[in-house]
Amino acid sequence: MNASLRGGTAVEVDRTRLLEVRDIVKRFQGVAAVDRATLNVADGSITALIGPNGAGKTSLFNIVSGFARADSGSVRYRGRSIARLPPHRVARAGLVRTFQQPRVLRRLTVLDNLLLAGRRQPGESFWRALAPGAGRRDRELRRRALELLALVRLEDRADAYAGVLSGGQRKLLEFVKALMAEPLLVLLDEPLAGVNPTLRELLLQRLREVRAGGGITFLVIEHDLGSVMRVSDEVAVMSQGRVIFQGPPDATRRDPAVIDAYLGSADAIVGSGTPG
Amino acid sequence: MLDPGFWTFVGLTAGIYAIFALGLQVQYGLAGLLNFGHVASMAIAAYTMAILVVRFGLSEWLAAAFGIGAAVAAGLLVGLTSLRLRADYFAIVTICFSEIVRYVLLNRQDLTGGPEGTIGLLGRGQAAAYNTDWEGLVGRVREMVSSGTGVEVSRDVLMLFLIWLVAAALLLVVRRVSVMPWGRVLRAIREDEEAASSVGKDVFARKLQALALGAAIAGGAGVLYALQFSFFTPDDFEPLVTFFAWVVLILGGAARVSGVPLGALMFGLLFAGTRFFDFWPLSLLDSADRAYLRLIIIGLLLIGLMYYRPQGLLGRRQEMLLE
Repeated sequence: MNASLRGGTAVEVDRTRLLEVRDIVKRFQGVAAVDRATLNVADGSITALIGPNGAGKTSLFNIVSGFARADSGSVRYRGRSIARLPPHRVARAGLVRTFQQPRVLRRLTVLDNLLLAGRRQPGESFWRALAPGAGRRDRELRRRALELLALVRLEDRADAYAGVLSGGQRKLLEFVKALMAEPLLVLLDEPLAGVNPTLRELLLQRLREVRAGGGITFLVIEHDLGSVMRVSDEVAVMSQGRVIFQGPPDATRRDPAVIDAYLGSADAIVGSGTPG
Repeated sequence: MLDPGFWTFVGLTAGIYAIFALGLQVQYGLAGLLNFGHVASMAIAAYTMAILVVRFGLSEWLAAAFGIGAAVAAGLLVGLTSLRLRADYFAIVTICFSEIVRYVLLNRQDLTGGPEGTIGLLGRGQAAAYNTDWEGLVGRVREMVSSGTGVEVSRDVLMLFLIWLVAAALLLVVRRVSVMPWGRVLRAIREDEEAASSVGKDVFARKLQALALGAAIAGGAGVLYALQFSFFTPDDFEPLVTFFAWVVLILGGAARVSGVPLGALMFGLLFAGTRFFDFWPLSLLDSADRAYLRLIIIGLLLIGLMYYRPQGLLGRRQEMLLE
Protein backbone atom coordinates (compact mmCIF):
# COMPACT_ATOMS: atom_id res chain seq x y z
CA MET A 1 0.00 0.00 0.00
CA ASN A 2 2.91 2.32 0.50
CA ALA A 3 4.49 1.81 -2.88
CA SER A 4 2.15 4.33 -4.46
CA LEU A 5 2.83 6.85 -1.74
CA ARG A 6 6.56 6.51 -2.15
CA GLY A 7 6.64 6.27 -5.90
CA GLY A 8 5.40 9.74 -6.64
CA THR A 9 8.02 11.75 -4.79
CA ALA A 10 9.97 14.25 -6.83
CA VAL A 11 12.28 15.15 -3.99
CA GLU A 12 15.43 13.09 -3.66
CA VAL A 13 14.94 11.20 -0.41
CA ASP A 14 17.85 9.94 1.58
CA ARG A 15 16.51 6.44 2.07
CA THR A 16 18.74 5.77 5.00
CA ARG A 17 17.26 8.66 6.95
CA LEU A 18 13.49 8.71 6.94
CA LEU A 19 13.47 10.97 9.97
CA GLU A 20 16.22 13.32 11.06
CA VAL A 21 15.92 15.14 14.35
CA ARG A 22 18.59 17.81 14.94
CA ASP A 23 19.38 19.71 18.12
CA ILE A 24 15.82 19.91 19.36
CA VAL A 25 15.32 22.04 22.46
CA LYS A 26 12.05 22.28 24.35
CA ARG A 27 11.81 24.14 27.65
CA PHE A 28 8.92 24.16 30.09
CA GLN A 29 9.23 27.17 32.39
CA GLY A 30 12.98 27.21 32.11
CA VAL A 31 13.47 23.48 32.54
CA ALA A 32 14.75 21.80 29.39
CA ALA A 33 12.61 18.69 28.79
CA VAL A 34 14.46 18.15 25.54
CA ASP A 35 17.98 19.53 25.38
CA ARG A 36 19.63 19.44 21.94
CA ALA A 37 18.38 15.99 21.09
CA THR A 38 19.60 14.53 17.81
CA LEU A 39 18.26 11.31 16.35
CA ASN A 40 18.05 9.49 13.02
CA VAL A 41 15.55 6.87 12.01
CA ALA A 42 16.60 4.72 9.09
CA ASP A 43 14.00 3.83 6.50
CA GLY A 44 12.60 0.35 7.09
CA SER A 45 14.03 0.00 10.57
CA ILE A 46 12.57 -0.62 13.97
CA THR A 47 14.30 1.94 16.14
CA ALA A 48 13.86 1.83 19.89
CA LEU A 49 13.91 5.00 21.94
CA ILE A 50 14.74 4.14 25.53
CA GLY A 51 15.71 6.07 28.61
CA PRO A 52 14.73 6.66 32.22
CA ASN A 53 11.46 8.39 33.14
CA GLY A 54 11.62 12.10 32.46
CA ALA A 55 14.36 11.74 29.86
CA GLY A 56 12.24 13.65 27.33
CA LYS A 57 11.12 10.79 25.08
CA THR A 58 7.44 11.66 24.96
CA SER A 59 8.23 15.37 24.62
CA LEU A 60 10.33 14.52 21.59
CA PHE A 61 7.45 12.47 20.17
CA ASN A 62 5.10 15.39 20.67
CA ILE A 63 7.44 17.67 18.75
CA VAL A 64 8.02 15.27 15.87
CA SER A 65 4.28 14.59 15.48
CA GLY A 66 3.37 18.28 15.52
CA PHE A 67 1.56 18.26 18.88
CA ALA A 68 4.17 20.55 20.41
CA ARG A 69 6.51 23.10 18.91
CA ALA A 70 10.25 23.00 19.62
CA ASP A 71 11.99 26.13 20.87
CA SER A 72 14.82 25.41 18.45
CA GLY A 73 16.20 22.66 16.25
CA SER A 74 14.92 20.94 13.13
CA VAL A 75 12.79 17.94 12.28
CA ARG A 76 13.14 16.59 8.75
CA TYR A 77 10.93 13.83 7.46
CA ARG A 78 11.58 12.43 3.98
CA GLY A 79 13.99 15.30 3.46
CA ARG A 80 11.49 18.05 4.24
CA SER A 81 11.15 20.15 7.35
CA ILE A 82 7.94 19.34 9.25
CA ALA A 83 8.67 21.29 12.43
CA ARG A 84 5.92 23.82 11.78
CA LEU A 85 3.22 21.50 10.46
CA PRO A 86 0.05 21.00 12.53
CA PRO A 87 -0.54 17.39 13.71
CA HIS A 88 -3.13 16.50 11.09
CA ARG A 89 -0.77 17.52 8.28
CA VAL A 90 2.04 15.47 9.79
CA ALA A 91 -0.28 12.46 9.96
CA ARG A 92 -1.40 12.94 6.36
CA ALA A 93 2.26 12.98 5.30
CA GLY A 94 2.46 9.41 6.63
CA LEU A 95 3.99 10.05 10.04
CA VAL A 96 1.49 8.66 12.53
CA ARG A 97 1.88 8.48 16.29
CA THR A 98 0.17 6.61 19.09
CA PHE A 99 -0.26 7.81 22.65
CA GLN A 100 1.11 6.39 25.87
CA GLN A 101 -2.40 6.41 27.30
CA PRO A 102 -4.25 4.93 24.34
CA ARG A 103 -6.58 7.55 22.87
CA VAL A 104 -9.25 5.27 21.51
CA LEU A 105 -12.58 6.94 20.83
CA ARG A 106 -14.69 5.31 23.50
CA ARG A 107 -18.15 6.13 22.20
CA LEU A 108 -17.31 4.94 18.72
CA THR A 109 -17.29 1.26 17.87
CA VAL A 110 -13.97 -0.54 17.52
CA LEU A 111 -14.57 -0.73 13.77
CA ASP A 112 -15.42 2.98 13.52
CA ASN A 113 -12.19 3.79 15.33
CA LEU A 114 -10.35 2.14 12.46
CA LEU A 115 -12.55 3.42 9.65
CA LEU A 116 -11.98 6.95 10.93
CA ALA A 117 -8.26 6.57 10.31
CA GLY A 118 -8.78 5.47 6.69
CA ARG A 119 -7.46 7.70 3.94
CA ARG A 120 -9.18 9.12 0.86
CA GLN A 121 -12.73 9.19 2.18
CA PRO A 122 -14.96 11.28 -0.08
CA GLY A 123 -17.80 10.87 2.43
CA GLU A 124 -15.92 13.09 4.85
CA SER A 125 -16.97 16.07 2.75
CA PHE A 126 -20.43 17.39 3.67
CA TRP A 127 -21.77 17.67 0.13
CA ARG A 128 -20.35 14.35 -1.02
CA ALA A 129 -21.80 12.70 2.07
CA LEU A 130 -25.23 13.71 0.77
CA ALA A 131 -24.64 12.22 -2.68
CA PRO A 132 -25.47 8.59 -3.35
CA GLY A 133 -22.56 6.16 -3.11
CA ALA A 134 -20.88 8.07 -0.29
CA GLY A 135 -20.68 4.85 1.72
CA ARG A 136 -18.88 2.90 -1.00
CA ARG A 137 -15.39 3.70 0.23
CA ASP A 138 -16.43 2.50 3.69
CA ARG A 139 -16.92 -0.98 2.31
CA GLU A 140 -13.34 -1.09 1.00
CA LEU A 141 -11.99 0.32 4.24
CA ARG A 142 -14.07 -2.13 6.25
CA ARG A 143 -12.28 -5.05 4.62
CA ARG A 144 -8.89 -3.61 5.52
CA ALA A 145 -10.07 -2.73 9.04
CA LEU A 146 -11.29 -6.26 9.72
CA GLU A 147 -7.95 -7.64 8.52
CA LEU A 148 -6.14 -5.38 10.93
CA LEU A 149 -8.49 -6.31 13.78
CA ALA A 150 -7.84 -9.99 13.05
CA LEU A 151 -4.13 -9.24 13.25
CA VAL A 152 -4.51 -8.31 16.93
CA ARG A 153 -7.38 -10.74 17.63
CA LEU A 154 -10.01 -8.06 18.08
CA GLU A 155 -12.17 -9.05 15.11
CA ASP A 156 -15.01 -10.32 17.27
CA ARG A 157 -15.11 -7.00 19.13
CA ALA A 158 -15.57 -4.98 15.91
CA ASP A 159 -19.07 -3.76 16.78
CA ALA A 160 -18.46 -3.15 20.48
CA TYR A 161 -17.87 0.35 21.78
CA ALA A 162 -14.13 0.92 22.11
CA GLY A 163 -14.85 2.09 25.66
CA VAL A 164 -15.59 -1.47 26.81
CA LEU A 165 -12.15 -2.78 25.80
CA SER A 166 -9.53 -3.59 28.42
CA GLY A 167 -6.44 -1.43 28.73
CA GLY A 168 -4.33 -3.95 26.84
CA GLN A 169 -6.89 -4.29 24.07
CA ARG A 170 -6.97 -0.50 23.73
CA LYS A 171 -3.22 -0.55 23.19
CA LEU A 172 -3.67 -3.08 20.41
CA LEU A 173 -6.48 -1.03 18.87
CA GLU A 174 -4.32 2.08 19.06
CA PHE A 175 -1.57 0.17 17.24
CA VAL A 176 -3.75 -0.99 14.35
CA LYS A 177 -5.47 2.41 14.19
CA ALA A 178 -2.07 3.88 13.34
CA LEU A 179 -1.56 1.20 10.69
CA MET A 180 -4.98 1.94 9.22
CA ALA A 181 -3.81 5.48 8.42
CA GLU A 182 -1.39 4.00 5.81
CA PRO A 183 1.74 5.32 7.53
CA LEU A 184 5.35 5.28 6.40
CA LEU A 185 6.63 5.95 9.89
CA VAL A 186 4.83 5.04 13.10
CA LEU A 187 5.80 6.47 16.47
CA LEU A 188 4.71 4.05 19.19
CA ASP A 189 4.70 5.46 22.72
CA GLU A 190 5.09 2.55 25.14
CA PRO A 191 2.99 0.06 23.21
CA LEU A 192 3.71 -2.76 25.67
CA ALA A 193 3.02 -0.99 28.98
CA GLY A 194 0.03 -2.50 30.73
CA VAL A 195 -0.33 -5.26 28.16
CA ASN A 196 -0.37 -8.83 29.46
CA PRO A 197 2.49 -11.16 28.40
CA THR A 198 0.44 -13.04 25.78
CA LEU A 199 -0.75 -9.89 24.04
CA ARG A 200 2.75 -8.47 24.44
CA GLU A 201 4.26 -11.30 22.42
CA LEU A 202 1.50 -10.94 19.84
CA LEU A 203 2.19 -7.24 19.46
CA LEU A 204 5.93 -7.74 19.09
CA GLN A 205 5.36 -10.45 16.52
CA ARG A 206 3.00 -8.20 14.54
CA LEU A 207 5.47 -5.36 14.74
CA ARG A 208 8.11 -7.47 13.00
CA GLU A 209 5.65 -8.84 10.44
CA VAL A 210 4.30 -5.43 9.54
CA ARG A 211 7.79 -4.01 9.19
CA ALA A 212 8.83 -6.89 6.97
CA GLY A 213 5.67 -6.97 4.88
CA GLY A 214 4.44 -3.42 4.63
CA GLY A 215 7.62 -1.38 4.43
CA ILE A 216 6.61 0.56 7.52
CA THR A 217 9.26 2.07 9.77
CA PHE A 218 8.80 2.17 13.52
CA LEU A 219 10.19 4.40 16.24
CA VAL A 220 9.25 2.85 19.58
CA ILE A 221 9.46 4.25 23.09
CA GLU A 222 9.55 1.32 25.48
CA HIS A 223 10.55 0.53 29.02
CA ASP A 224 10.49 -3.22 28.56
CA LEU A 225 14.08 -3.22 27.39
CA GLY A 226 14.42 -6.98 26.98
CA SER A 227 11.53 -7.13 24.55
CA VAL A 228 12.40 -4.04 22.63
CA MET A 229 16.04 -4.96 22.24
CA ARG A 230 15.03 -8.25 20.66
CA VAL A 231 13.02 -6.69 17.85
CA SER A 232 14.86 -3.46 17.14
CA ASP A 233 17.64 -2.78 14.63
CA GLU A 234 18.73 0.42 16.27
CA VAL A 235 18.51 1.76 19.78
CA ALA A 236 18.61 5.40 20.76
CA VAL A 237 19.08 6.20 24.43
CA MET A 238 17.81 9.43 25.94
CA SER A 239 18.85 10.84 29.25
CA GLN A 240 18.11 14.29 30.65
CA GLY A 241 16.78 15.60 27.36
CA ARG A 242 19.63 14.40 25.18
CA VAL A 243 20.23 11.38 23.01
CA ILE A 244 23.37 10.03 24.61
CA PHE A 245 23.79 7.03 22.33
CA GLN A 246 22.47 5.61 19.11
CA GLY A 247 23.57 2.29 17.65
CA PRO A 248 22.80 -1.41 17.30
CA PRO A 249 21.35 -3.23 20.36
CA ASP A 250 24.56 -5.13 21.12
CA ALA A 251 26.64 -1.97 21.26
CA THR A 252 23.99 -0.34 23.43
CA ARG A 253 24.32 -3.02 26.08
CA ARG A 254 28.06 -2.39 26.35
CA ASP A 255 28.10 1.40 26.18
CA PRO A 256 29.34 2.81 29.50
CA ALA A 257 27.34 6.03 29.18
CA VAL A 258 24.16 4.04 28.73
CA ILE A 259 24.88 1.80 31.67
CA ASP A 260 25.66 4.89 33.69
CA ALA A 261 22.39 6.56 32.73
CA TYR A 262 20.46 3.64 34.10
CA LEU A 263 22.43 3.90 37.37
CA GLY A 264 23.05 0.35 38.27
CA SER A 265 20.00 -1.04 36.55
CA ALA A 266 22.40 -2.24 33.89
CA ASP A 267 21.00 -5.71 34.46
CA ALA A 268 17.82 -4.58 32.80
CA ILE A 269 19.75 -3.90 29.64
CA VAL A 270 21.96 -6.95 29.66
CA GLY A 271 19.09 -9.14 30.85
CA SER A 272 17.77 -12.00 28.83
CA GLY A 273 14.54 -10.37 27.75
CA THR A 274 12.05 -11.76 30.20
CA PRO A 275 9.43 -9.04 30.58
CA GLY A 276 9.88 -7.21 33.83
CA MET B 1 -58.12 21.82 25.30
CA LEU B 2 -59.75 20.25 22.29
CA ASP B 3 -59.68 23.42 20.27
CA PRO B 4 -57.81 22.65 17.01
CA GLY B 5 -56.26 26.10 17.13
CA PHE B 6 -54.50 25.12 20.35
CA TRP B 7 -52.96 22.00 18.84
CA THR B 8 -51.91 23.94 15.76
CA PHE B 9 -50.13 26.38 18.02
CA VAL B 10 -48.41 23.53 19.87
CA GLY B 11 -47.35 22.03 16.56
CA LEU B 12 -46.02 25.32 15.19
CA THR B 13 -43.98 25.99 18.32
CA ALA B 14 -42.66 22.44 18.25
CA GLY B 15 -41.83 22.61 14.54
CA ILE B 16 -39.83 25.82 14.79
CA TYR B 17 -38.03 24.54 17.87
CA ALA B 18 -37.34 21.23 16.14
CA ILE B 19 -35.48 23.06 13.36
CA PHE B 20 -33.80 25.46 15.75
CA ALA B 21 -32.64 22.65 18.06
CA LEU B 22 -31.47 20.58 15.09
CA GLY B 23 -28.85 23.25 14.48
CA LEU B 24 -27.69 22.78 18.05
CA GLN B 25 -27.74 19.02 17.59
CA VAL B 26 -25.19 19.36 14.78
CA GLN B 27 -23.01 21.63 16.88
CA TYR B 28 -23.23 19.90 20.23
CA GLY B 29 -24.61 16.41 19.59
CA LEU B 30 -22.17 15.70 16.77
CA ALA B 31 -19.23 18.05 17.23
CA GLY B 32 -19.41 18.65 20.99
CA LEU B 33 -19.44 22.45 20.66
CA LEU B 34 -20.95 24.16 23.68
CA ASN B 35 -22.98 26.93 22.02
CA PHE B 36 -24.90 29.02 24.55
CA GLY B 37 -25.66 31.77 22.03
CA HIS B 38 -27.54 29.74 19.44
CA VAL B 39 -30.42 32.24 19.43
CA ALA B 40 -28.14 34.82 17.78
CA SER B 41 -28.30 32.88 14.48
CA MET B 42 -32.08 32.99 14.58
CA ALA B 43 -32.18 36.70 15.43
CA ILE B 44 -29.66 37.65 12.75
CA ALA B 45 -31.48 35.73 10.02
CA ALA B 46 -34.92 37.06 10.95
CA TYR B 47 -33.80 40.67 11.29
CA THR B 48 -31.62 40.61 8.16
CA MET B 49 -34.57 39.39 6.16
CA ALA B 50 -37.00 41.95 7.56
CA ILE B 51 -34.58 44.87 7.17
CA LEU B 52 -33.61 43.95 3.60
CA VAL B 53 -37.25 43.71 2.54
CA VAL B 54 -38.57 46.79 4.32
CA ARG B 55 -35.66 49.17 3.95
CA PHE B 56 -33.93 47.99 0.82
CA GLY B 57 -36.86 46.65 -1.14
CA LEU B 58 -35.32 43.24 -1.77
CA SER B 59 -37.57 40.37 -2.77
CA GLU B 60 -38.64 38.29 0.21
CA TRP B 61 -37.02 35.14 -1.16
CA LEU B 62 -33.68 36.77 -1.74
CA ALA B 63 -33.86 38.49 1.64
CA ALA B 64 -34.53 35.13 3.34
CA ALA B 65 -31.45 33.65 1.64
CA PHE B 66 -29.35 36.63 2.73
CA GLY B 67 -30.74 36.23 6.24
CA ILE B 68 -29.49 32.66 6.44
CA GLY B 69 -26.20 33.76 4.86
CA ALA B 70 -25.79 36.45 7.51
CA ALA B 71 -26.38 33.88 10.27
CA VAL B 72 -23.66 31.66 8.76
CA ALA B 73 -21.27 34.61 8.42
CA ALA B 74 -21.83 35.53 12.08
CA GLY B 75 -21.26 31.90 13.09
CA LEU B 76 -17.98 31.83 11.15
CA LEU B 77 -16.90 35.09 12.76
CA VAL B 78 -17.47 33.70 16.25
CA GLY B 79 -15.82 30.42 15.28
CA LEU B 80 -12.71 31.90 13.68
CA THR B 81 -12.05 34.13 16.67
CA SER B 82 -13.06 31.79 19.49
CA LEU B 83 -13.07 28.10 18.52
CA ARG B 84 -9.52 27.68 19.77
CA LEU B 85 -10.71 28.51 23.27
CA ARG B 86 -11.45 25.74 25.72
CA ALA B 87 -15.06 24.53 25.57
CA ASP B 88 -16.28 26.47 28.61
CA TYR B 89 -14.72 29.73 27.47
CA PHE B 90 -16.19 29.23 24.04
CA ALA B 91 -19.61 28.88 25.67
CA ILE B 92 -19.10 32.20 27.45
CA VAL B 93 -18.12 33.93 24.19
CA THR B 94 -21.21 32.60 22.41
CA ILE B 95 -23.66 33.78 25.07
CA CYS B 96 -21.95 37.18 25.12
CA PHE B 97 -22.20 37.38 21.35
CA SER B 98 -25.91 36.61 21.37
CA GLU B 99 -26.49 39.29 24.00
CA ILE B 100 -24.47 41.82 21.98
CA VAL B 101 -26.68 41.03 18.99
CA ARG B 102 -29.84 41.53 21.05
CA TYR B 103 -28.63 44.82 22.52
CA VAL B 104 -27.71 46.15 19.09
CA LEU B 105 -31.17 45.20 17.87
CA LEU B 106 -32.72 47.00 20.83
CA ASN B 107 -30.66 50.15 20.57
CA ARG B 108 -30.03 50.78 16.89
CA GLN B 109 -33.62 51.92 16.51
CA ASP B 110 -32.90 53.65 13.18
CA LEU B 111 -31.85 50.33 11.66
CA THR B 112 -33.92 47.71 13.51
CA GLY B 113 -37.02 49.42 14.80
CA GLY B 114 -35.67 49.10 18.35
CA PRO B 115 -37.79 47.69 21.19
CA GLU B 116 -40.98 48.12 19.16
CA GLY B 117 -39.74 45.44 16.85
CA THR B 118 -40.03 45.06 13.11
CA ILE B 119 -43.33 46.87 12.95
CA GLY B 120 -41.39 50.08 13.63
CA LEU B 121 -38.89 49.51 10.83
CA LEU B 122 -40.24 52.51 8.92
CA GLY B 123 -40.41 54.75 11.97
CA ARG B 124 -43.38 55.72 14.07
CA GLY B 125 -46.85 55.96 12.62
CA GLN B 126 -46.18 53.53 9.82
CA ALA B 127 -46.60 49.76 10.21
CA ALA B 128 -43.88 47.92 8.33
CA ALA B 129 -44.46 44.44 6.89
CA TYR B 130 -41.87 42.16 5.35
CA ASN B 131 -44.08 39.23 4.40
CA THR B 132 -46.70 40.59 2.00
CA ASP B 133 -45.60 38.35 -0.89
CA TRP B 134 -45.40 35.38 1.42
CA GLU B 135 -48.91 35.89 2.79
CA GLY B 136 -50.16 36.33 -0.77
CA LEU B 137 -48.63 33.00 -1.73
CA VAL B 138 -50.09 31.28 1.35
CA GLY B 139 -53.50 32.73 0.46
CA ARG B 140 -53.29 31.40 -3.10
CA VAL B 141 -52.25 27.95 -1.88
CA ARG B 142 -55.25 27.90 0.48
CA GLU B 143 -57.56 28.77 -2.41
CA MET B 144 -56.01 26.03 -4.52
CA VAL B 145 -56.48 23.48 -1.76
CA SER B 146 -60.09 24.45 -1.11
CA SER B 147 -61.04 24.53 -4.79
CA GLY B 148 -59.19 21.28 -5.46
CA THR B 149 -60.35 19.21 -2.52
CA GLY B 150 -63.15 21.23 -1.00
CA VAL B 151 -61.33 21.27 2.35
CA GLU B 152 -60.84 24.63 3.99
CA VAL B 153 -57.41 24.87 5.65
CA SER B 154 -56.58 27.75 7.92
CA ARG B 155 -53.41 29.75 7.36
CA ASP B 156 -51.85 28.32 10.51
CA VAL B 157 -52.55 24.73 9.53
CA LEU B 158 -50.88 25.35 6.19
CA MET B 159 -47.87 26.89 7.97
CA LEU B 160 -47.81 23.96 10.36
CA PHE B 161 -47.61 21.58 7.42
CA LEU B 162 -44.90 23.62 5.73
CA ILE B 163 -42.74 24.04 8.82
CA TRP B 164 -42.81 20.33 9.61
CA LEU B 165 -42.04 19.57 5.97
CA VAL B 166 -38.91 21.72 6.24
CA ALA B 167 -38.10 20.15 9.61
CA ALA B 168 -38.45 16.64 8.17
CA ALA B 169 -36.26 17.45 5.17
CA LEU B 170 -33.54 18.95 7.36
CA LEU B 171 -33.74 16.04 9.79
CA LEU B 172 -33.20 13.62 6.92
CA VAL B 173 -30.21 15.60 5.65
CA VAL B 174 -28.59 15.78 9.08
CA ARG B 175 -29.36 12.14 9.75
CA ARG B 176 -27.77 11.16 6.47
CA VAL B 177 -24.54 13.10 6.92
CA SER B 178 -24.25 12.03 10.55
CA VAL B 179 -24.11 8.34 9.63
CA MET B 180 -21.65 9.04 6.81
CA PRO B 181 -17.89 9.49 7.35
CA TRP B 182 -18.60 13.23 7.77
CA GLY B 183 -20.46 12.51 11.01
CA ARG B 184 -17.86 10.00 12.13
CA VAL B 185 -15.15 12.65 11.98
CA LEU B 186 -17.28 15.03 14.07
CA ARG B 187 -18.07 12.37 16.66
CA ALA B 188 -14.37 11.56 16.86
CA ILE B 189 -13.59 15.23 17.47
CA ARG B 190 -16.29 15.37 20.14
CA GLU B 191 -14.62 12.40 21.87
CA ASP B 192 -10.97 13.41 21.62
CA GLU B 193 -9.61 16.20 19.44
CA GLU B 194 -6.00 15.08 19.66
CA ALA B 195 -6.84 11.51 18.72
CA ALA B 196 -8.73 12.81 15.68
CA SER B 197 -5.86 15.02 14.56
CA SER B 198 -3.38 12.18 15.10
CA VAL B 199 -5.07 10.31 12.25
CA GLY B 200 -5.07 13.32 9.94
CA LYS B 201 -8.38 15.09 10.66
CA ASP B 202 -8.38 18.89 10.54
CA VAL B 203 -10.14 19.53 13.84
CA PHE B 204 -10.46 23.32 13.55
CA ALA B 205 -11.89 23.26 10.02
CA ARG B 206 -14.36 20.55 10.99
CA LYS B 207 -15.59 22.41 14.06
CA LEU B 208 -15.98 25.54 11.98
CA GLN B 209 -18.02 23.60 9.46
CA ALA B 210 -20.31 22.21 12.17
CA LEU B 211 -20.74 25.68 13.61
CA ALA B 212 -21.65 27.11 10.20
CA LEU B 213 -24.10 24.31 9.40
CA GLY B 214 -25.78 24.72 12.79
CA ALA B 215 -26.02 28.47 12.24
CA ALA B 216 -27.55 27.96 8.80
CA ILE B 217 -30.21 25.64 10.20
CA ALA B 218 -30.97 28.03 13.07
CA GLY B 219 -31.09 30.84 10.49
CA GLY B 220 -33.73 28.84 8.63
CA ALA B 221 -35.69 28.56 11.87
CA GLY B 222 -35.40 32.33 12.25
CA VAL B 223 -36.81 32.94 8.77
CA LEU B 224 -39.73 30.59 9.44
CA TYR B 225 -40.33 32.23 12.80
CA ALA B 226 -40.50 35.62 11.11
CA LEU B 227 -42.86 34.36 8.41
CA GLN B 228 -45.13 32.67 10.91
CA PHE B 229 -45.53 35.57 13.33
CA SER B 230 -45.39 38.49 10.86
CA PHE B 231 -43.74 40.67 13.45
CA PHE B 232 -41.10 40.26 16.13
CA THR B 233 -39.06 42.24 18.64
CA PRO B 234 -35.58 41.79 20.20
CA ASP B 235 -37.35 40.28 23.22
CA ASP B 236 -38.13 37.23 21.10
CA PHE B 237 -34.42 36.42 21.08
CA GLU B 238 -33.55 36.36 24.73
CA PRO B 239 -30.92 33.87 25.99
CA LEU B 240 -33.81 31.81 27.35
CA VAL B 241 -34.62 30.78 23.77
CA THR B 242 -31.17 29.21 23.43
CA PHE B 243 -31.76 27.25 26.61
CA PHE B 244 -35.14 26.09 25.37
CA ALA B 245 -33.27 24.56 22.44
CA TRP B 246 -30.99 22.86 24.96
CA VAL B 247 -34.08 21.55 26.75
CA VAL B 248 -35.33 20.09 23.47
CA LEU B 249 -31.95 18.48 22.85
CA ILE B 250 -31.64 17.01 26.33
CA LEU B 251 -35.24 15.75 26.37
CA GLY B 252 -34.76 13.84 23.14
CA GLY B 253 -31.21 12.68 23.77
CA ALA B 254 -28.40 14.93 22.58
CA ALA B 255 -26.51 12.30 20.61
CA ARG B 256 -29.50 11.17 18.54
CA VAL B 257 -30.79 13.14 15.56
CA SER B 258 -34.15 11.42 15.86
CA GLY B 259 -34.47 12.68 19.43
CA VAL B 260 -34.84 16.26 18.22
CA PRO B 261 -38.42 16.12 16.86
CA LEU B 262 -39.56 14.10 19.87
CA GLY B 263 -37.95 16.54 22.29
CA ALA B 264 -39.45 19.45 20.35
CA LEU B 265 -42.96 17.97 20.51
CA MET B 266 -42.69 17.43 24.25
CA PHE B 267 -41.34 20.90 24.70
CA GLY B 268 -44.05 22.43 22.49
CA LEU B 269 -46.71 20.67 24.48
CA LEU B 270 -45.33 21.92 27.77
CA PHE B 271 -44.47 25.38 26.57
CA ALA B 272 -47.63 26.19 24.67
CA GLY B 273 -49.85 23.75 26.49
CA THR B 274 -49.45 25.03 30.02
CA ARG B 275 -50.79 28.37 28.82
CA PHE B 276 -54.14 26.70 28.26
CA PHE B 277 -54.24 24.64 31.42
CA ASP B 278 -57.25 26.42 32.88
CA PHE B 279 -58.96 23.49 34.58
CA TRP B 280 -59.19 22.98 38.32
CA PRO B 281 -56.98 23.21 40.38
CA LEU B 282 -54.86 25.27 38.01
CA SER B 283 -57.80 27.60 37.47
CA LEU B 284 -57.26 28.83 41.01
CA LEU B 285 -54.22 30.70 39.68
CA ASP B 286 -54.66 33.62 37.37
CA SER B 287 -53.32 33.30 33.84
CA ALA B 288 -50.18 35.34 34.47
CA ASP B 289 -49.19 33.00 37.28
CA ARG B 290 -49.99 29.97 35.17
CA ALA B 291 -47.55 31.25 32.54
CA TYR B 292 -44.76 30.81 35.06
CA LEU B 293 -46.02 27.36 35.90
CA ARG B 294 -44.74 26.03 32.59
CA LEU B 295 -41.16 26.91 33.45
CA ILE B 296 -41.55 25.15 36.78
CA ILE B 297 -43.02 22.10 35.07
CA ILE B 298 -40.25 22.04 32.43
CA GLY B 299 -37.67 22.27 35.20
CA LEU B 300 -39.21 19.46 37.22
CA LEU B 301 -39.49 17.32 34.12
CA LEU B 302 -35.81 17.84 33.32
CA ILE B 303 -34.79 16.92 36.84
CA GLY B 304 -36.88 13.76 36.62
CA LEU B 305 -35.46 12.92 33.23
CA MET B 306 -31.88 13.42 34.37
CA TYR B 307 -32.59 11.11 37.27
CA TYR B 308 -34.27 8.29 35.37
CA ARG B 309 -32.99 8.68 31.79
CA PRO B 310 -29.84 10.82 31.73
CA GLN B 311 -29.24 9.86 28.12
CA GLY B 312 -32.53 11.49 27.02
CA LEU B 313 -35.64 9.74 25.74
CA LEU B 314 -33.96 8.20 22.71
CA GLY B 315 -30.33 8.25 23.84
CA ARG B 316 -28.27 5.14 24.38
CA ARG B 317 -27.64 4.52 28.04
CA GLN B 318 -24.63 2.37 27.24
CA GLU B 319 -22.85 5.38 25.72
CA MET B 320 -23.27 7.33 28.95
CA LEU B 321 -21.55 4.66 31.01
CA LEU B 322 -18.40 4.25 28.94
CA GLU B 323 -15.18 5.51 30.37
